[in-house]
This record gives sequence, structure tokens and C-alpha cells, in this order.
Amino acid sequence: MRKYSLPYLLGRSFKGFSRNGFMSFASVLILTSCLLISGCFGLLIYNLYVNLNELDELNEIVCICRYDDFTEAEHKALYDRISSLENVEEVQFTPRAEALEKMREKYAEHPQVLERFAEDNNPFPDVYTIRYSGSEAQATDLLFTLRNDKKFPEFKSVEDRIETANTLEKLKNTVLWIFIGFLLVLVFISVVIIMNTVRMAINSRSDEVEVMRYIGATGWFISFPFIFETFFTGLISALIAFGAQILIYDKTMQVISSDISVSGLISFVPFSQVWYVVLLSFVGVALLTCYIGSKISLYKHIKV
Amino acid sequence: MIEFKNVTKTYNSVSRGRPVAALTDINLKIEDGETVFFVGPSGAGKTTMMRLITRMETPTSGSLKVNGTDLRRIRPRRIPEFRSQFGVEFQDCKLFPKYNVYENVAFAMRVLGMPNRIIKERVPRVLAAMNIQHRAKHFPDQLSGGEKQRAALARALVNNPKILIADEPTAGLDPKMSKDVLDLLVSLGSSTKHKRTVIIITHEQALASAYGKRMIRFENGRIAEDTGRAQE
Repeated sequence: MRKYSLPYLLGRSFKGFSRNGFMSFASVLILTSCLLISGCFGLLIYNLYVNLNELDELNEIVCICRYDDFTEAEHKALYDRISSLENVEEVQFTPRAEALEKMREKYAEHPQVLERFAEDNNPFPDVYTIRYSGSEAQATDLLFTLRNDKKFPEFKSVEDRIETANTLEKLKNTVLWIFIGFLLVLVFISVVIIMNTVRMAINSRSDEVEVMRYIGATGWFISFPFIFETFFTGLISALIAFGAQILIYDKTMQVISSDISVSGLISFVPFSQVWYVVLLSFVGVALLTCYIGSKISLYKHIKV
Repeated sequence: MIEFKNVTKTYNSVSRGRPVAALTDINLKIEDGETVFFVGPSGAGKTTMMRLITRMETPTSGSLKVNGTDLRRIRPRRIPEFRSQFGVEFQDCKLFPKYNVYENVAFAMRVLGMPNRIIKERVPRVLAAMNIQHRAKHFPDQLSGGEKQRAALARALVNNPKILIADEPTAGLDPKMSKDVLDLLVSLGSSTKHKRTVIIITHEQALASAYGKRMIRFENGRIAEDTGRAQE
């Protein structure tokens, strides 16, 4: 069993990487671009998912009260009637004063938005939020009952999100598949670039490879420097892409949070919550791409 | 021992659209410790012989055994171990331009996974034996043609191979230098300390014949003449 010196092999890999000069630089640029595009797209989708899930729960029906002067006993009776309905899991009553308070908390950074409203001119109605379970047909039945003026004359309107939930589910799946397709295309491009880089490295060191083969180098000894050269490319690309991703994400968050009309609609997950996933994904995808690209090229050109 | 039995090697020629024979019906035995010259014009099949012996190529038909190993049946994972018994000096030296002489020679030992301690001990000894120790820190482009050959020879010998093959070692050298290099190679084969087989591939038949060693002349992929005793 031959014992190879790891520092020697790593040194050879690094020398090979630096000797490739322009081609290594070009590979880093392309791989970085691919990682960055995937990263931006991936984070966009992740935020979309988070935002969709934050759109209050989709299996909810919101009932808005017709009048704001119900007594506590009337509210209690109404609450009990709703709770007794089939498929109702949970009923939550939000008084209009509490709704106003919640909105004030949400827009704490922009107090001017709600400053002209007080208890006497509170624009929010009393609301019952009903969480239900069961199939789409059962949900529709429940909705039908709640909208029946004879059974529930207390409600001015009853809002549901059944269709929205279905549409959003389809949207999520479509976007996810587009992302997967997009990612595969970018990985393919990266693999081709790495294959080409390795092919050029092999050509420029064909004498070295031939000498090694003639005097008994194992396939592992021959291929290690080429594979690790591409790992350098992958690691550098992943780190550059990660740095660029931080800047792009920060800048995007700044732009969005500066505009209240947008920030009220979209919330961004702070990068501090996802940085390790982004970094690990970049490094993982880059190394895997480099490994696949270099192995294919080595097999194709020097049969190791 | 190297033994060829009815060995034929053909290549598929894309331009000609049919297989082209590089070697045809070769029968040959080279005993351990023999020094043999392969001579003949370019394209006669000498280098293909080297590639077959080192298992860089496999025979299209026939049987080829090197030190008891049947090269048509050897398992791929055993090939590196098999090749480690060879030292090869290439036609154009193939010294690595970015490595100095010491590193070029040490490289051959690193390929076989030798520890640094042994490399540091053995490389200077081999460089001294090749009389090139004073050039250890020089790079190939700072060496003369003869020095390059000696550096390449040092690399071929540093692993103490059982079989040494020199492919056109005199290419590009003046007559004086050519003789010096061939003297060195023949002396390596004559060493009683190592029973080493030496195969020298050259197109300079006149120069080779001066040594009185076995000479096998190739023409159009066939053996045209073998002066040795061991031919089958």
C-alpha cells in the first residue's frame, strides 16, 4: 500500500490551480455567477414561501360583524353558536380595539399611519376568526352556513381563502419546479465549464501525466491534483458568491424596508437566520459540481 | 524475462478507414539482465514495442509476458504496481520545466509514495551517479542536451527499476554526447550489482552496433534482424 504525502498532493493541486491562471479565473467567474443566480432565486423562493405562510393561516374564515355594539352576552352566544358548527376547530374573537392596537404594533416604525385613529373613530370592526378542518367541500359547506343571513345575521361579510389557498399552493409548486429546472441548467453549465478547465489542465500537463503513468502512478495519484484544483475553484467561487449574496440581500432589504407600501406587504427573512444554509449550499453545490466535472473529464481524457 | 509470442498490434485508422498494423507477428525473448538495442527507421514499430512492454497498450493478438505477468490478462488495478518495475527515459526527456532537476528526479519517487526521508537520501546519490549533482537546483531550460538526458536518466533510475527503457536517448545530441549517453546506458546494463534489463530504442544503427550488444532491427512492424541468442 503506497502512502502519499497529503501536503505534497495539496501543494501540487494548488500549483496547478495557479498555473492555470486565466482558465481558473474564468471558471471561478462562471461558477460564482451560477451560484449567485441560484442563490438569489432560491432565497426569493424561500421568502415567498415564508410570506405565503405568514398570510394568516389559509384554513381560516374571517367573519366581520355588522354592528360594533354587541353586548358581552350577545358575543358569548354568537361564539357558542359558531363553535358548535361542524368542522370548526377554533374560534377567536378579536375586538375592534385590539385590532387597532395590533396594527399600531405592526407599524410601530411608522406611527403617522394610524395616529389620527382613536377609540371613537376606530376603523376596524369586531371580527371572528374561525379555523376549520376537513375537505374543501366541507369548508365550502361551513362557509355557506356562515354566509346564511338567517342563521348568522350578525355578520356583515364572511371572507374565506379557500380559492386563494389552492392558487397559492399551485403557485408554490410551479415556482419550485421552475427553480429546480433552473438549478439543473446552471449545474449543467458549471459541470461543462469544469470539464473544460480540467481538459485544458490535462493538455497543459500531458507530459507529466504520461511520465506518471509509465512509472506506475495509481489513478488516484494522477487524478487527485486535478480534482483538488477544481475544489479550489469551487471553494473560492462559493466564498465569493456568498459575499456577493450578503451584499445583494442586504441591499434588497434596505430598498424594501425604506418603502412602507412594499414593506407592509412583504417581509424578508433576516440573512442572519439563513446564512449557514446559503453558505453550506454554495460550498456543497460547488464541490459536487467540481467533483462531477473533473471525474467525467479525467475519465474521458486520461481514463482514470 | 520479456516474452512476445506471435504478437500483433493494430490501430484503427480513422483516415484510412481500416485497421493499420503497427507490429505484426512478433516473437521475441529478452532475458533478465540483457541489454538490447531496438533499431530501425521511424514508424518501424519500436515505440509501439515499448508501449506494449509497459502495458500502455495491449496486443491485438498473441501473448506477451513480462516477468511472468501476462499483459493481456492483468487486472487494471494491478497495472500501476506492474509498471513500477520500469524506468523510462523519454525521447524528448519530458523533464518538467517548472521543477528543478532535484524535484524532477524526486517526482518519480513520489509517484510510488516513497517517504521524504528516503527521497532526500536517494536523489542526491543518483544525481551523483549520473554526474549531474552540481545541476540539482537548475531548471531544465538551464541544462545542455546531454545534461537533460542524464537528468532524465536519473529520474528513470531513481526507483531502481528492473527494466530500463530509453526511447531515442540520443535524439538531438551531437555525436560525442550521443556516445556518452549510450556508454552510460550500456554500463547500467552491464552492472553486476543490479541484474537490470536495458532496452535502448534508437534509429542510429551504426552507433548501436559499436557496442556489440544484442540488436533487434524493426522494419514495417516486423523483426527484420535479431543478432541475439535468445530469439525464438
